[in-house]
Amino acid sequence: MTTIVEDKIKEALGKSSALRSDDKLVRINNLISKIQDLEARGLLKRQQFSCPTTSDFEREVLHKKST
Amino acid sequence: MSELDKQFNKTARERIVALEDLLQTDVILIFGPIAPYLVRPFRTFIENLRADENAKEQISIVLNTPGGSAETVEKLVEIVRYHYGEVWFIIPDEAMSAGTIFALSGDAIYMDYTSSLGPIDPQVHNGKEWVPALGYLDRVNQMIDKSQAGTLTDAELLVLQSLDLAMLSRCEQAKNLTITLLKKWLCEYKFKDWEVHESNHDKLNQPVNDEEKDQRAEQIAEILSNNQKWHSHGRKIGIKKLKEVIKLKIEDYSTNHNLRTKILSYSEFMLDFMIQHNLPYLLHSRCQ
Repeated sequence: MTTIVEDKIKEALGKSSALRSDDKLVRINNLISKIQDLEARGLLKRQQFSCPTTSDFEREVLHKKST
Repeated sequence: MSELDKQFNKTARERIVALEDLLQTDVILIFGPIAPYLVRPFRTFIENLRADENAKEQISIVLNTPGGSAETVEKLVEIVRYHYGEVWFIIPDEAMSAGTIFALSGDAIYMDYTSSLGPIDPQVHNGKEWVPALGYLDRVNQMIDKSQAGTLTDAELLVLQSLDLAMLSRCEQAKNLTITLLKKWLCEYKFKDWEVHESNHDKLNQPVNDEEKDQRAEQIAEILSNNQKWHSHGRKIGIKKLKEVIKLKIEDYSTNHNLRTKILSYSEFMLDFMIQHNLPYLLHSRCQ
């Protein structure tokens, strides 16, 4: 099941892609592949986000307690 | 048990019982983050208090927390509501974020001019610090708008294609959860005795219907979860703003000298104990 934001992004990607030539889309996809390759080799680091749902607080607080 | 521990227990008990006598409710204290590890001890803690022969039908929760998870708040509310028909919250210092959601599940909230609640927008961790998830969603929505207008740049298209959709969905679901919980609890408890309009001049003294209560609850949830309004998740929202901007009914004990003294002498004492012993959280009742 997709959420509203996922659906909106997929729609936006479809719309924006349709406005670009095949050649340009190939170049963008190539660039994404290059970025992913650099990430895989540890040469580029993407900023990661995570949601504090369960264990994050426990780890943070209990670690603080033990140190 | 050392002499010092005995003396601490005696003083803590004297002070909580004095507060109970004044409020005519059971009183418990919850200090620290609202995290999943709290659920099991909280269940045992409430069950022990309820089993006490002097247990009352109402409970006052003295709450001081930087926040935590909304899912944990939902569990704590389920537990406390299973045992108590009437729940009051006392905020001597602050109940931020998930603590605000918890406080808004009460039938009444007691604060003084120094107490604070906080914004309830969900946070995500970027490896270094907590940042507003909705700020991230805002930027994504801006790109979606630009896409619809046909003005999305190649660089933005590249960013949009590389987004972590699962994380974005969790942000969205976290916001929806807080709004859903608040709407439910405000209508069920906080608004249960709200019978006539008191601040809307066009409807002054006219009866309030369920639909209006529902709309009001949604407005409050939307305002408190609006990261653009509060600018910072750590923003302290005092009693004046809660009453005038959010139009929440808060019981103000700033000038009730007797009540204020009893609340502060108990909560300050427990807070000092918690800091001195470097405790991650503290639950306290007269049964301990």
